[in-house]
Amino acid sequence: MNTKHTTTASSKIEPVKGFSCQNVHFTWKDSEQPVDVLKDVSLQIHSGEFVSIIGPSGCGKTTLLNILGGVSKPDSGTVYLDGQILGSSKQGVTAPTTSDVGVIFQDYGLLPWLTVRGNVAFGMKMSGIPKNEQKNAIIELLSKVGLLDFANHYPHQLSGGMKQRTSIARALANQSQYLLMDEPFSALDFQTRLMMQEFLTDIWQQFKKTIVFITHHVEEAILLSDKIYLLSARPGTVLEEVTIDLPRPRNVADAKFNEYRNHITSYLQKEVLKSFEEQNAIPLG
Amino acid sequence: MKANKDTIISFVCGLTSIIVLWAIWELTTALGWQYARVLPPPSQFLADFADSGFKIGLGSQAASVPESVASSFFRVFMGLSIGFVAAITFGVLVSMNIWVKRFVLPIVELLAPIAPIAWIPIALVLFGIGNQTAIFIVFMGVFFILTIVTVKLISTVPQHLINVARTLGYKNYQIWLYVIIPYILPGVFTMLRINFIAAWMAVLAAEMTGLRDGLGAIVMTGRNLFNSDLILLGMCLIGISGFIIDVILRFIQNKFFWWDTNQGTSAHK
Repeated sequence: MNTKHTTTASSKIEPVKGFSCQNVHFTWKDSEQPVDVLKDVSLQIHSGEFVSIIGPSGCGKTTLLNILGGVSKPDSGTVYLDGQILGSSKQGVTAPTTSDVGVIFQDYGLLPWLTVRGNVAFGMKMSGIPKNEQKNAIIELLSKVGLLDFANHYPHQLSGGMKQRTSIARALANQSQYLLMDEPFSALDFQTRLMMQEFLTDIWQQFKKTIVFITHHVEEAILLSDKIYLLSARPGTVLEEVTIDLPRPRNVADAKFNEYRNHITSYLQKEVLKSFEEQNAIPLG
Repeated sequence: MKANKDTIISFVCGLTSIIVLWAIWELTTALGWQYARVLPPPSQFLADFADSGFKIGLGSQAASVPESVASSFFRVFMGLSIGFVAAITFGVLVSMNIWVKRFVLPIVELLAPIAPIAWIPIALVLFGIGNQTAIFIVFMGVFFILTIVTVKLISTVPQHLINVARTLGYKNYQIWLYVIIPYILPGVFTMLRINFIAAWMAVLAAEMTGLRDGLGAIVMTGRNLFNSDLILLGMCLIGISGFIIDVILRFIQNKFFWWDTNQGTSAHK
């Protein structure tokens, strides 16, 4: 199995095409006691890769995604996007330039007053695509995600899977090279989830995007990813980088698949237990 | 289909009870009960009203009934529209800066509980007797409360919607324009509908205290002339007009501000 342990905090990561985080710290200061959410996170996501991030609840996965999206700012450490500093503690947040990063949430983040077409157009508005070409581009995109027949439906008229496809189409409409997905399929039922996994693989291969995918679901991560980062219980730090060396399409019944699954599941159990113990350390009642 | 059927049943039931009430009213009068003179039934006041050529008042001061209804409608809609737009604009401006919000909001909160009727004397001094007075009163009746609602709702816009727009390249003013303001519109409009009743009452009170025309003036003329037919006619018109305005407002809500943000953007309807 092809796993390697990340080296110490001081390791220097060379900026590459894609994301690279160096020693990112993040502290949550809104509560009475400041909570360390991320500690010394260093990772690298190459352009064109499908990378998953797995960790127990509350380990700072979403915070990490916000930092990559340029929405939050790390307390220390540096994030590079294509070799350029994205947000560092000193320079403040530079929002990623238009058309770099698209974010996809578990609860879709669609605008309820716009139709499917309107939501996709909302994503294209700032993309720099000339206005007279946008209409056709939207239609093409909608047919690629299989929503052409639903172009004039409003979000509340769609199923969960359709909403998530709309949200993905919106991110694609912006010509984003990077898609950041925060547990995008968690709210979907099992069957829809399987279909969406297939759909996402298609999209990823067809559009040659870079995807950062946060999930709780071990099997989903192995099925989809080139590489999986395992985060520790809070404060989150990278424990291990697992490269999934399996040909696609992948088979969940495969022996090697199973090996990966056992390895990651046992890690996850350990970390979840740790975060439970921490919670139980506070006497109840 | 089912919704349609429900609507029809509700409509028929409502109509039936109105007709029954009317019948009882006419019957008690026909039986010669003594309060008939204070509460003349529709058959009586509508007949009188037709006799007078749909005019109310004396001589050159007389205003026609359709004119009175139209001027009350005009005042209410002008006041509501100006109040709605002004409150959203002001609420947005106040919300843009935390310090402005801290200094300005308490003043608005202090002014909001003043009943619109209480503004009548000041309005009469400021604008004299005329449309402006009535419009001003309706405006005051909705402006402060809608400003508070706007500020409150702006603080409930989900952060992830703003983040989506930001990562898509929207600038701050564009986020206000395309995300935050559309998000709050239905909530503010609902508040407008709720506060319409207060504004409506204020206009009528203003019309009773001085304006020559309008529905309130009909009732007041009736009182001055000891004409209970006219009072009842005015009251009926007020009731029906208020109902129609509410129907119109509901129509506007369903047509233009229908989206439900309370359930979040993910929930099924």
